[in-house]
Amino acid sequence: MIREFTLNHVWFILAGAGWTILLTAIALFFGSILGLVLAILRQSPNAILRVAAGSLVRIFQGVPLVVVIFMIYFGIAGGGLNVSPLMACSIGLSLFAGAFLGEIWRGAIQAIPAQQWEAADALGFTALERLRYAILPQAIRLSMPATIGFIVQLVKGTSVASMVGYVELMRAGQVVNGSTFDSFTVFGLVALIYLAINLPLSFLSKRIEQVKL
Amino acid sequence: MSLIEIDHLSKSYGAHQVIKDVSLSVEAGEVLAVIGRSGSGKSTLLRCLNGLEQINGGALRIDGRAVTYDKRALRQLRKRVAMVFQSYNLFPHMSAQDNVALAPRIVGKLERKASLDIAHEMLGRVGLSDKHDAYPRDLSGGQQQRVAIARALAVRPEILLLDEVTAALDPELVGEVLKVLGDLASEGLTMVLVTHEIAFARKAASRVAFMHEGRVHEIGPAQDVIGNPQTPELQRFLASVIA
Repeated sequence: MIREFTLNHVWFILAGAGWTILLTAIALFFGSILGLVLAILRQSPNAILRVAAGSLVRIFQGVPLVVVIFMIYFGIAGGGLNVSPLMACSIGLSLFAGAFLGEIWRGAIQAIPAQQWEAADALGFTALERLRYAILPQAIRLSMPATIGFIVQLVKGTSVASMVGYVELMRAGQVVNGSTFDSFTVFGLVALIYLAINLPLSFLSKRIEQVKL
Repeated sequence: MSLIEIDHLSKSYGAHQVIKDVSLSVEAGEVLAVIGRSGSGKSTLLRCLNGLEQINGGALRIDGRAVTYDKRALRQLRKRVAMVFQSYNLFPHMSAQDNVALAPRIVGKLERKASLDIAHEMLGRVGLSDKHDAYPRDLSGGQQQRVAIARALAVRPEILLLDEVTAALDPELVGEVLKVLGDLASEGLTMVLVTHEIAFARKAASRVAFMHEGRVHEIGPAQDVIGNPQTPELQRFLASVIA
């Protein structure tokens, strides 16, 4: 039975947008922690840590996100463990975000001139203090445009969650489309909502680029 | 016992020996100026003194204690032997007072308030009491270098190392930095400075060492070494920088 596209459908899609934002926030939170650890480990004096971190980055950058999420959702479920779609997507997206943010931040850390590291050394800082007080504040600022650019990718990346049945923005659109068949209106609305989430991020990035260090 | 004792020190990068069997000592309160051409090893020698470079041979003692390179020893060493660099190397994301207060707070474990008091005191010593909140980008090169000197002094070091601290400055800004260094020298701070400012070395340094191809060629009272050079290498060097 084909239904009319109504305000209720709009609310349903907006609720989906809420889950998209939640999923993005979860992935960003855990991905940031993972990314920071990876960025630091990739410059460790210990070769094993360096190679391990580098391999992790390459794997999660090289394998499509949807494959990672399928492996977690169907793969682990096949092993007898019950993994919810939200859990599977959170893990997959966090690994994805960690790999990309780790790489962005590694580049930013390496871009801080050697003299800055040396100045911190000469003040008697330990390696961690040097990162915490001298290097990271500069690297984070330097990486902001690329970081925000990646968050935009992450917001769009959450649409993959629709493929394991998690009702975020994309899946909500598919559900409504399934009953109304008003594809242009439905996916037009979905597209507008993605834009409404991402455009402010793009503007923010532009603003930050103009701030002097 | 001298405050700094350098005993048959050598330093190589791979097969390239930068410092060859250098021995000298610096007494407390003394100002030693190290002069010489680029590549003569003078900056490397300076960087050995606070452990930024590890020595390959010989011995290096600060106040009787041999310099070692484990983490804790390096931290202690750098509290006693502070350094100022040619390109200032201030932290660009911090105001002048935060740059100066950082080491007292982190390395000296002081409260923020106490560390800021030190910062204000040190900025006063270099004549920048009106620039507490200025960021490095808002300061001239000479002012930035004075903040860097204040930052080095903030850990109350016994020895201050200065690596060509006026070389990156516009000529009209050199004077204000040299004045600060002159004041510190007259207050009795032990300093080792690598410099191209021959006139300043002659005036402010107690002794001058001339380095050439990794060795100390001449060393002695500033007036003698600069006024009456003995070796043709130093004569040629002085002729080329003074001309």
